[in-house]
Amino acid sequence: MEQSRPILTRQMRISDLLSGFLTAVMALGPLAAALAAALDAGRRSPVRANWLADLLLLDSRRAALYLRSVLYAGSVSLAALILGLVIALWLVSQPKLAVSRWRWAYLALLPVPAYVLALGLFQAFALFEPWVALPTGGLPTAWFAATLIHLPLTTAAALLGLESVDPIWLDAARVSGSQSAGPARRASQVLWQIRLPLALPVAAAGAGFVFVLTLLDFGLPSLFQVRVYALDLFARFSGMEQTASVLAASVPLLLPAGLVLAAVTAGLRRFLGAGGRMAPREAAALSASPDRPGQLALTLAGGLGLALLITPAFFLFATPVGLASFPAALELGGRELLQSAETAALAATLALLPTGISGLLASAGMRRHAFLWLLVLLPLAAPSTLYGLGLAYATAAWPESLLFLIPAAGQAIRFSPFAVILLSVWQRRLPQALIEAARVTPAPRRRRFFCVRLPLLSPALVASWALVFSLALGELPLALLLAPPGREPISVKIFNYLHYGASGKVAALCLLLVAGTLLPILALGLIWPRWRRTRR
Amino acid sequence: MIKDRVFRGFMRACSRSLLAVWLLTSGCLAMLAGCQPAAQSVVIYTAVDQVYAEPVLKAFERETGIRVDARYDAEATKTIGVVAALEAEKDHPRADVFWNNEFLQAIALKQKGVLQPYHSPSARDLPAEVKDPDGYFTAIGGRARVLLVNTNLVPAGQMPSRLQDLLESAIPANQIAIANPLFGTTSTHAAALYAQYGAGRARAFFSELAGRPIQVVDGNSVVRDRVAAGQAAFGLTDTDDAGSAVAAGKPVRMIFPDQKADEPGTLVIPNTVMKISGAPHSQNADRLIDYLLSEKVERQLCESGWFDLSLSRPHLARLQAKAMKIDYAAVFACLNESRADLRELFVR
Repeated sequence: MEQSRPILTRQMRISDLLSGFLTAVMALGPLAAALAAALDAGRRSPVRANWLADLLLLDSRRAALYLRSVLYAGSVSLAALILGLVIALWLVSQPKLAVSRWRWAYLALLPVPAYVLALGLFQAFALFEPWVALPTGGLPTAWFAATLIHLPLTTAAALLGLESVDPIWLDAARVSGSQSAGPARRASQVLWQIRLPLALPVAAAGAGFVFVLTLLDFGLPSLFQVRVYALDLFARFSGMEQTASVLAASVPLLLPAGLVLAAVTAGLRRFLGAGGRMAPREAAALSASPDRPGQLALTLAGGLGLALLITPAFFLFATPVGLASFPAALELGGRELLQSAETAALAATLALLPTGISGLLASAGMRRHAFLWLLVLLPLAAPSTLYGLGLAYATAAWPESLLFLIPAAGQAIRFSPFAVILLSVWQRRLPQALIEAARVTPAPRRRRFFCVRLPLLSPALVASWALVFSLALGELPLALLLAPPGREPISVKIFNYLHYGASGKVAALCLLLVAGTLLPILALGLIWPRWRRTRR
Repeated sequence: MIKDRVFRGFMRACSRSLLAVWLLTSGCLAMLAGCQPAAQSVVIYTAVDQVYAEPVLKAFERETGIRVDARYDAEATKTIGVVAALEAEKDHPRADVFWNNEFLQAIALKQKGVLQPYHSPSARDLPAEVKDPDGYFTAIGGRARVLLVNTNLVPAGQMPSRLQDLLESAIPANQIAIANPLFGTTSTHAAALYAQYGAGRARAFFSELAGRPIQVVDGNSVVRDRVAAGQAAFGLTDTDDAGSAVAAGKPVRMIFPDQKADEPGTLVIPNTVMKISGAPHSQNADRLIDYLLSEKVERQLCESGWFDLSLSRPHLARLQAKAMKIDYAAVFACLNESRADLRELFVR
């Protein structure tokens, strides 16, 4: 099943090199600037930093904290993976349900800040108060909340994995399976022995992302009174003392994040190498129907999982927000929403620049691309505070007229890995025969690109743009650090009002934010099926 | 069929011109985002809660016609946000004015050469102790550190009245809440206690506090919410947070700690206003500082609930309490030591 890698032309090599260079600059540039800032601060400070002790975790308190943080992130990602797989299996096995048709809609929850969704959970807990006092703090509650809040990501990854398994393989497995078994039994065998193993690398990649996000986040655990290593790191940043120590202390956090991303990379490459393709939903469903008890269990578990997935958002928006709140919310945050949309649109456009590398990454069986994958995924593995500080330091001398670019650039760097992954997956399913046919035509290379390759890539480009736009719209840490004066992002406004405790206004603003992120996804949901039809 | 053909044609046209559309969109967005009207403007960075600061700045815009480009800090960024930005921009300043919600960072910025002196005429009549002797910053108003008590959960006879009650109250420790002492005004409070009592006694206090199963929550507003909701019996928070719970009719009572004659009084934390060295809009910066330090604005902030006490104009304060006598410079000197200790004690 090895896909034939198109022979690289001279121009493509140069474009690959250029894209690779751009990727490296985006991934490493801000980190280098942060390091320069640290060295600069170290030169100015009279206090010598004991960075070696920080690097090697010689302090037992920090070592224990570190271990707990890694275990916490690991258990959250594992739970989210299992639940996400169950939900995805249920969704693909029920193609006729309306919920299945809109199975990507929950991705609109991704840009809603985690602490806002956590408020929804608090409200859900409050409902049970008359009967049972649910703990609103502590490690188990934080674990539960983090799992639920990250479920959309793992569910989406699992769904992508399941729908990317080539239906031809599944049909082949079904036909060649034991003929004595009934159709339902064979479907179960195909599901457990072929489909799930093939989908697992992509699903695990989603869980890997959740691990990294959980490991680097201290906001959500803090809401539940759980201390994590990232908080210790943040406290050091906050103290603005011994910058070299802070950077050294961040290395232990980078290590597991980097390792997990390396594993994610390996999984993705294996998936791409195996020629994963998106199956039509109907074809996917046929091969995913196990026997009746299995179907019942799947429906129950999947339905429950889906209910859990939407719980935080449901209870957040179930706060009494009348229609009258919306004009007030628009007056309060309309300008900020518009400015955030501008920044997010720019970020989404900039995030497409390094996607030129996706063609190279999509090529199968190339071991030397492992480093390139790591480079692409690095912005997700490093704390965004590092990127923010690096960018702030690097752009300190920029003129006022260019300041609007800085948060867009930060968010583009942060979220471009998602665009590259999406483009890489898409490129694997491009009809190579068409590209080869175009290559042998005497048309100029530029024309071939604009008339063949770009139209073929455009659905994925649009989807990547929409995804990065949605993520950037609600992004908080970089926006806080990089937003220029007078251009306050909506996420910061929500966060500030949340601090004040104005939950009605926050809920209305969040609805506006979700509406803003839902629009491109809704548009895609409407256009995509027809687009696919016209392509066939 | 025809619809499909039309759609296909439309999509093909879209695909072909995709790059052009993107370029056009990006260009328009860049123009939209980058081009601002060339009006008179002033840039302010502020760590004051946006809900309180925004109306004041809007009023300044209305009264003077000078556009205010504000950058607000948030609970999440603590000092990383605006203070780190001010430091990073030291050689190429973008901000003109910094309006901070406490005083320690003003001293830090002064020491790092980020500020320039400005003697505002609005501050001429203020007491000397709220003005930096060199004119680098001026303190106004004040928020006190208070105990917020849920009156449904704490019997009248067990009302806490001292900071020491965080350790000695008959209320179970898991019913007591404080904000994370590594950040915000709780961090300032800790440094003030180090300065007031000496490092040994303050460390012992926090060590014992950390050893108890108290609730260490994300911020002072969370302390307020937990006490108001009955999830904590009492907690240590700021007056503006406590006041909003009282105003909302929650079953709570605000208590100023350590008010007896032999007790040191409660910590009152003023705001500070300062001018940035090399401010790009220097004249407008002076006007904004004059405005922020005016009695009118201080009254407005007292009425909105941001200030409950005032070190600068006590007659404006809605509440009166015995304030802890502190030396700002001494508190600042204790900051690094207190932070290091508290990190050891509370982040585990």
